[in-house]
Amino acid sequence: MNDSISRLLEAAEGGDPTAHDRLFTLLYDELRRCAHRQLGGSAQTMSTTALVNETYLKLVSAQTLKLESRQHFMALAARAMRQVLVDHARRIGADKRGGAALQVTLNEHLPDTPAEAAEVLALDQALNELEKIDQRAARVVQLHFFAGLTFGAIGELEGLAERTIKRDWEAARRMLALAMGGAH
Amino acid sequence: MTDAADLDRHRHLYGLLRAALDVDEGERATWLVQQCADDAGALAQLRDLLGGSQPSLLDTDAASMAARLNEIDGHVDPLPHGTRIGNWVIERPLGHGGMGMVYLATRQGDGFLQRGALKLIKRGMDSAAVLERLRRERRILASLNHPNIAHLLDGGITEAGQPFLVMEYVDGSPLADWAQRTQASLAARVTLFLQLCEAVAHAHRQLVVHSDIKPGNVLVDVEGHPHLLDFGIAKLLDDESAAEQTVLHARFLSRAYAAPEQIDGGAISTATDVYQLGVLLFELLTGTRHSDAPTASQASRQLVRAHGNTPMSAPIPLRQLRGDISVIVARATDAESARRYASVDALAEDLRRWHHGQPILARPDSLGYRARLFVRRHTLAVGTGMVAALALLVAVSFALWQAAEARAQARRATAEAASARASQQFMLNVFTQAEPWRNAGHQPTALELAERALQRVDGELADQPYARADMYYALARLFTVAGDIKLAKTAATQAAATLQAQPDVDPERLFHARLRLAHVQFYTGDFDGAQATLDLLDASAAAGLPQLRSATLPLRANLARDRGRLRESQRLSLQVAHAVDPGQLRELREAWWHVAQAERALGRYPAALAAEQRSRTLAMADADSTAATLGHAALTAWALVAETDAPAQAARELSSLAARTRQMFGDSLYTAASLLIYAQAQRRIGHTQSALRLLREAERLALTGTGGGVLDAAPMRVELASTLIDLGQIDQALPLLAAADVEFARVGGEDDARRWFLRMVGARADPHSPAAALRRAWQQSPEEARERPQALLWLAQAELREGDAAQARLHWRETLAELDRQGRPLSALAWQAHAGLAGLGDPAEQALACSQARLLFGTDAAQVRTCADLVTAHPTAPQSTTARHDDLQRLDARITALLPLDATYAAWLQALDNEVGPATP
Repeated sequence: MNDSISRLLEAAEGGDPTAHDRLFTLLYDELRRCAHRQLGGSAQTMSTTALVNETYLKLVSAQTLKLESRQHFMALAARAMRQVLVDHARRIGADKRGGAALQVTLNEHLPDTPAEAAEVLALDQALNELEKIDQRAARVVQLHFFAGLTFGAIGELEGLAERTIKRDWEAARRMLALAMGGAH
Repeated sequence: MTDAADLDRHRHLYGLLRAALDVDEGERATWLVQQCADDAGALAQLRDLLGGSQPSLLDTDAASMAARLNEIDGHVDPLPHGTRIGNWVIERPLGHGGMGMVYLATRQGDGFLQRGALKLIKRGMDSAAVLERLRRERRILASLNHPNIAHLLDGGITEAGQPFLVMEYVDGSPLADWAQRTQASLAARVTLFLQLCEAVAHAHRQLVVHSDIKPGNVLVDVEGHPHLLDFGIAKLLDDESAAEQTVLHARFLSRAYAAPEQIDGGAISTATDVYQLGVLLFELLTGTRHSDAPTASQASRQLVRAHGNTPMSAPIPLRQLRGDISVIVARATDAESARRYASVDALAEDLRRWHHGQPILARPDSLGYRARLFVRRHTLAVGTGMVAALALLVAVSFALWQAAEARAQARRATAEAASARASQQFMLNVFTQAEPWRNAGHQPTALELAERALQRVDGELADQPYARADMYYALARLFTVAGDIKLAKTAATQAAATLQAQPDVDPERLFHARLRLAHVQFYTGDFDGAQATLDLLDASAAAGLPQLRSATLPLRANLARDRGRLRESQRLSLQVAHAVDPGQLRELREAWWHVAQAERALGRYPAALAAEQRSRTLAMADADSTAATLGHAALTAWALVAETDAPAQAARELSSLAARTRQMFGDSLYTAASLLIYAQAQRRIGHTQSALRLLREAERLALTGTGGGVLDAAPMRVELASTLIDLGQIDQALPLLAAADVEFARVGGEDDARRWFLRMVGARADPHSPAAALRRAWQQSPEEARERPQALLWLAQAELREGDAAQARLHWRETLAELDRQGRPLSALAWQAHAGLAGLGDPAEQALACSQARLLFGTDAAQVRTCADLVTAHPTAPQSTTARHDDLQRLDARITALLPLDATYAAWLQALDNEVGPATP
């Protein structure tokens, strides 16, 4: 597993789209499994940091990756986590519209407006927009919010001072709020 | 605004925002005004953004977002392919229901790949109690074996503590799709529905309720056979806590198919399944969801109206849905569970009749219903015991009425029907006059109602002798149950006398009235009167009622038992067990229970255990078994276990059984009897003080509680006296023994084993030489009696105390021999004998006593320490010989193999929850 992950990471860094997709699927599935374990199990919610760390340990184990690979891994993990949330929110939306075959077993008492799901989808859209305006700030949001990395850790990965990352975050956070507010 | 323009504007605002953040906070306001001199909109937006921090999604984190999505969604993001759960590997999601996701999963079997529908239950279950419940219930569910029920294959807990269940995977289509696709005919749908009814009835016979029957839980395979999914799962998920139950119901159940009691948090029972089957039937026939239809006429209107609605599946043409089908649906789906079909079989029977064009049995309304409704309304006023009694009265009069009506139809005898109508009217009068506003706000109790009825029978039914007799008969049963034996005797005497005075009396009817009288005589302690009535009955049976020849046997067996004639009681009980028709589960179960009691009294334990097992199996197989029946079965079983092999374990179980019995029956003879059995087990493991408390309570309840009497208190008194003597409180013990002896002398003969044992107990308190007194009393010992080993043990102990070790050794050995004869060579009594012999320095006995103590009482029990002390006191003891090593292994195996008892207990708990609701801790 370790071998294949670092090999996959290297291949992906070298621009191999198959390796990239394969990695993404691996991460996506593992994050869902981890999230599943914690969501189904106890009332206490695990932090995103713990979630991604668990995924990292599960896939990469104790082996140290070189910096670029780690950077790549975390970016992919953040992207995968974002996708997990977006897919889930979309599915809720679909259910609300009467999602076809499963209607007989559906619980008839879902809340009328799944506000949380709408919010996740709005964030996704706003983040898409931010990527066009300030790619680095968007990356910071993705790594901090979806992968639970600290500003210090992001700075290390990006080769920038923590202060700079923080400023990116502050600006991006406000901008996303504006874009999401505007979506209403 | 177009997207591109939007993006440009956002880009512009973002540039300003970043720049503004770099400006010193003190100068930011001024800077902003300068930058946005010509753009008031941008200024306002930027001020907003730079001002206070509005709450944002980004302040949380992704994981808690996922948790929130999960909460509102009600089901978890599906697990990816290849995930392992227990021995299973997830293939793909099949769908999701209220309780969580369902996956197609596979497991490597013996050279084949087994497929299953794996249900991952959303709710966390991590408390040990819940896991234990899951384990127990799974065992019960695994007992369901029916071609139309999807079997439970496996289940367990994931790493994260989430429970999962694996059901048989059925390759089929949901019910609605099947109806739509195949355009199934009315006959095909009725056939399919009847198969479902059979499956549900099968489960009910195993005491399993589905409680979530709905079209989504029925899959139809390619051959057109229905498979019912998720049996008992909803029930299994029900927690003991009532508060949580409401949440559960809201979360797991589909409201459209939930019975009213499920929404109100009422007791779930087989009636719940009847309701849901009714809803399903409606939908299957009309293609439309059923909504509450309180009466048949409304159901009928709904049936017509439903037909116009957009159908979910192909409906049956309306002209085929004529007649009583609306009555059937209305009966099955009545909001009052008492008013629904009494069983799934009854529902199926009516559907069959309707389909064949025969008249159905359900009626739009009935006396029985109105009376039951009355009981429900007055539940608080009449109290639990009384409700049961009143319900019995109503059920009896209703049954009599039905029987009379059937006879009337058969013979077209108008007189009979008139009599039935008169009974009906009479009952209604009694009930009507009980309405509170006619009694100045006082809610009459059931007993008051019955007393009122008793006074009015003669006046109001003067010209209806048969109705009068029926009513007296019903009242006699009611008063018996309610514990007013005197009134019961009055009523029974009147019933028999009234019938006897009719020149054209049906001899069978007279027989039953007299049999009731004999019962009441027996209950009032009038054993001679009962005996005389029984002889009369046997004579009349011999003269012309051959079918009733064995009808008196059960009462004769009871009479023999209470008279202390053990052998006769055992013989009669066995005769009953062999005479009862195998289909009569209740009678058969009672017969074997009596056999078990008689064999136990004789000290024939293997026979007692076998009879008990038979009785218990019958109790579990009978869908009509009440919690009382099952509790009784569990109590008897553990009592035998306590006396044969595992006293410590039995004491634990009996403790909880006694507590639940009390919760259910309050201050009654049942409770007293359960306390006596528990106390005996406590004595056996050396918990004397606890036993004393229990016995005092048992004696009090037997004397004062419902259904008890002086004779019932006598066994409690003997046990209590014996315990007091253990503790040296002889002055208190002797009067108890004297009182018990008076009772036994009154009903039994001089050779009554109970009187002999009572004298043994008294001899222990002899002021001069207990050993000599015990030896004298021992001379009178009957050849067979449960108490013989105990008596020998006391003798040996007294002899040792008086310095006669040789005699003590002899009698300890005799104790062991007697226990061997009784088929309980490894009981706690045997341990006492071994320990006694060990105390005399026998090294083999020391080793044996030590190991046995550990098995019987648990490793940290006082008895184990006693043995250790013995070994230390005799340091010469060599290491254990293997003497009786096999016996110990057998004992160990028996103790660990008490699983069938566990199942009875679980079934009892389930029935109890159905009847009285979950226990409040």
